[in-house]
Amino acid sequence: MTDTNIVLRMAPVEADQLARLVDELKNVIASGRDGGDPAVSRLTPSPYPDDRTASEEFEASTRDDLLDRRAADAETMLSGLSGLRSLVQDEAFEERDLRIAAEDVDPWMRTLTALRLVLASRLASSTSSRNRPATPSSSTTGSAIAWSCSCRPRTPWADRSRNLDDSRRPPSRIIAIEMRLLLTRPSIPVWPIGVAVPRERPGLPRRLVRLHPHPHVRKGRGRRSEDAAALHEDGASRIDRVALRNGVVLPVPPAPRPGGAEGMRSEDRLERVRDAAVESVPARIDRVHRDELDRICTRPGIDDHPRESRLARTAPTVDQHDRGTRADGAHIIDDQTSGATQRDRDRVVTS
Amino acid sequence: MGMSAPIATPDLDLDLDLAAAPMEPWQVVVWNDPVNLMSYVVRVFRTYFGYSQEHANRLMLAVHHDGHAIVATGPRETMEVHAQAMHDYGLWATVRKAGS
Repeated sequence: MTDTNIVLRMAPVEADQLARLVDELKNVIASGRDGGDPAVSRLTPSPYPDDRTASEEFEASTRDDLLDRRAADAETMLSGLSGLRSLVQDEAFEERDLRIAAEDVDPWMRTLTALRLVLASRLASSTSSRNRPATPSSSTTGSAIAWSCSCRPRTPWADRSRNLDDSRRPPSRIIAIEMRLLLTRPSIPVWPIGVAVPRERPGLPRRLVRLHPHPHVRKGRGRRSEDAAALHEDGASRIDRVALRNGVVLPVPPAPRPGGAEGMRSEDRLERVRDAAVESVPARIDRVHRDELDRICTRPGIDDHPRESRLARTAPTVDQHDRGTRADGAHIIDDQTSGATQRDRDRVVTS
Repeated sequence: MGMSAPIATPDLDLDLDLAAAPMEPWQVVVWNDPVNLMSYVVRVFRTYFGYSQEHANRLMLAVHHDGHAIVATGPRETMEVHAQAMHDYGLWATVRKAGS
């Protein structure tokens, strides 16, 4: 199955972000060697859960090797990504071929799996992750790993791949890469993720929403979509637009007024936005970058623009990003993000 | 040279009583987890164990629906090696005595 090389299309900025995740994975492994970190324990499960002695014996003789191999796999993946990581302003978002040699496919997949296991473990230990994605500032780990968790879609593959029906999948981009490794699909649609922007009311929380591309999946469950419910709780009537990546802002249809029947239910409103999102930004909506969303969510003043028309062009972009707000050196990417933002803005039709 | 008597006749203490170490089969059990993709699990079963697509798929679905599946049976040491390989791939595998 691994006779041939696999070619991924990947932009340098993506390679860089992915590599940083893998870097973090390596750190987690290195610092969790002594035990005590549930994420590392998940990478080295006990084969004898009911037999403590046998379990300890097995662990004593295998754990270090196992973690060594994870680190070595991660290193393989990093060196595979290294060619793409060099960030030059104009090329950061230009997808290029990333060739993965046949013998490297397994290390890649094991690393991605390990990464997802760590993510899942971190996620499980966080209480608020299910309905309300953790933002970087509120996450316990304060890391890209936690942030990536918050960007995960729910059932992106439900209708695309017959085997994959699980609704608890970790980050979209990792899955996207993994799926390409598995299926070598040319392109994989991923749910648009947007930020619900409150209507010119400073102090109202912005909220990440996922725009479900397959409404019937959700309807089948017979319950209200969590995002719509969340919007409702947050005062949906005051949220009038959803900012997608790179400057795309979509209007949200009006909410019902307190006294009358005018307007639409939160679910329908979101659905309307979703349709518009899928229509206006085909194919590449999966390129939601951690840093961008990070900035969209945390930057003050995103909704301070007085006029919608101006906001539609400029609001969620990163032109005036706050330098030095991240401790992990993300500013290296910022310039490139801005450059691509400009280009994307030119390309995308905003309403 | 020709044929000659052995230079030394070591004093072998052969233990012919093998009942003490019965060939008890052990099993590798892979457990369901919400993280690993189904297609990934199938791929691991196929590439590591060399199972057919159908068999690997059946095992994967057993893991998915029943929560676990026995993916290999044999001597304990071999099963431990398999289990460790499964751990390498991020699958949650345990080893147990057959029939337990």
